[in-house]
Amino acid sequence: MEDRELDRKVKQAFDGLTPEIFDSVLSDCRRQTGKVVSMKPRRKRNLLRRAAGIAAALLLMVGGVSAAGLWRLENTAVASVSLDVNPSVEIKVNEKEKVVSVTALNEDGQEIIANMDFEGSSLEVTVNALIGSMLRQGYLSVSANSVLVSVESTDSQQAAALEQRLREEIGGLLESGGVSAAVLSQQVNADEELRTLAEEYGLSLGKAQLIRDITTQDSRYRFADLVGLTINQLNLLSEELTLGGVQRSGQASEAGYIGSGEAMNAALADAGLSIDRISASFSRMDWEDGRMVYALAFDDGENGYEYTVEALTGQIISSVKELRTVLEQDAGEAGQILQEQTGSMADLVQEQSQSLEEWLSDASGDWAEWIRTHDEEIERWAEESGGQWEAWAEQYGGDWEAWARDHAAEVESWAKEQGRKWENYGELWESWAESLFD
Amino acid sequence: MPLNCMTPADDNASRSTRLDQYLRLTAENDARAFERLYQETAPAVYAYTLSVLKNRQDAEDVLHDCYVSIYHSAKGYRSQGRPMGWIMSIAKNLCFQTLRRRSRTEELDEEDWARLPALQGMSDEERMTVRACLSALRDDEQKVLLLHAVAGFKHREIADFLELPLSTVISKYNRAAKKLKSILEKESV
Repeated sequence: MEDRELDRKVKQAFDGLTPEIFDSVLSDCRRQTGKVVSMKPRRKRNLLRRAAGIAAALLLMVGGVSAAGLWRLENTAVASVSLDVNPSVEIKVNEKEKVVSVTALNEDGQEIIANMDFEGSSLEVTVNALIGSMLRQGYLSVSANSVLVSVESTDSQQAAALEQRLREEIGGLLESGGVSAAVLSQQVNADEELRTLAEEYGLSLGKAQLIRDITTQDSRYRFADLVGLTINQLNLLSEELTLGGVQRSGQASEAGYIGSGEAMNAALADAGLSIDRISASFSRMDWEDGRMVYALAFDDGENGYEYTVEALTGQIISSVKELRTVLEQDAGEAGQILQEQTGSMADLVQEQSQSLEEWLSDASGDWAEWIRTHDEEIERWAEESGGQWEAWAEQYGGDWEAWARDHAAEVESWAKEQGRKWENYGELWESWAESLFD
Repeated sequence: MPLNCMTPADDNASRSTRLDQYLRLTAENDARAFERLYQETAPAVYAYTLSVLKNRQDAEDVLHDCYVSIYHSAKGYRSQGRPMGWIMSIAKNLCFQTLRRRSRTEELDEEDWARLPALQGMSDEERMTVRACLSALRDDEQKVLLLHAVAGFKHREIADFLELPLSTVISKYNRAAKKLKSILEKESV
């Protein structure tokens, strides 16, 4: 029987096995869709009075302008406001705070703007419509509630006032839409480096500035690592940082993830501990290897534990256990030697771990490409396996993929063997450390 | 009632396009499109959840919750050409949540087998195929085989989904297919 025929039989069998529960699903969906997100009509404000304070500072010319001059005035942008969620949109306004242009800075931003025409509209109405569009299309929701508002203007005092006003307004808009808002706001001070970064990575100046601020304060991240993250993710990662120019209101949502409590439960279960046995604990969110994770540390008095747990699924990615009593005990000369050796062994483990990581990420990429770029290892394996290299050459000619398909099990076992060499360093360290105090 | 099967002529690319369209229409509250999405993808979700949870009721509960979640999340879905991957990720997360709530591992017991009502209406070969998949294969082999055969995942997609090396996935699929063929061919003699 061919594999394809087997697949067909299995599919047919499970097609018939699946319970028919669609009606129940649809009924529950409709019952749960009770809350319709709609933009409540805003209380009318005296826009002229509010705008006057800003307009007075933003006016380029006062009185006596010609018709052409008036056109130029009304179409000259004096301030720029960008909204970043994951969609990124830039709004340019004139001195009367009327919209001159609205530009999408990424594809999602284009979807938000769609066919809406904002030219000549007030900034308030425009922001209202854009935020509403993000809510309707699901870019803003209970699980992704963060918005970055960035204001760029030559008048920093007025820019600050505009920033504060927009921060409050957007917070109110999200609350109306049933979302507890987390708003980050800032003024943009665009130097040459920032403009280069924004252009290179296709970001708004605001998002580029936020990422630069985060990477300046937290050396674990490189700029390029963070460009693809949403504002909600950046907000979660930077919660403990003091980003000087950024005003925050509200709390970034963790609803899209399992939560630090669940992550800690998973780690404790893996360590065979219960919450009442630990004396100290710490958790934060990180971005590691392209995913959000919870970095956890806890201590049961005898041992220190560090865990990395995937934030979406709760899977344990890595764990480290340290013999605290060994590291902290004052054993005189033995203790000093131990401390010295600990450093070099830890460095060795760390170095090997990094090498293993690189190898694994290399190996899990393109299969055929990996085969092509690891000739030496495969040849070594083939020699160790006693002459299969020549048999391979005769049988397969140069068809790496065919060889890989037929020898998947052997390559897998070789790969595991390489992994075990790295793993052994960690085990050696623990048994050596324990032997000192036997 | 048996669900509709895909025709043999369907390939992955046109299927992905079709599922993307169903998701887009589901986001616009099109119940018919949602039903078509369910009909076409529920067998893969159910097969996977049954394989992970080993309990008919839990698998059915996760199947239900998965599609309610899909309905409410469809607005936020952004096509990257892998709608089935998105759907199965939701199912996987729901399975993990169920497993974390449990205090012990479970196996599909005889009572559960008896309560799979659809088995009654199946041919002997289909019944044997299901039973062989869920009891004769190891857990990891089951998942790989079912994701390949029922969800239509390529080996690399399975490797990404299960976070296994590609060589491991190929190897496990080969072993599972060999075992299953052996059982089916022996029983058909």
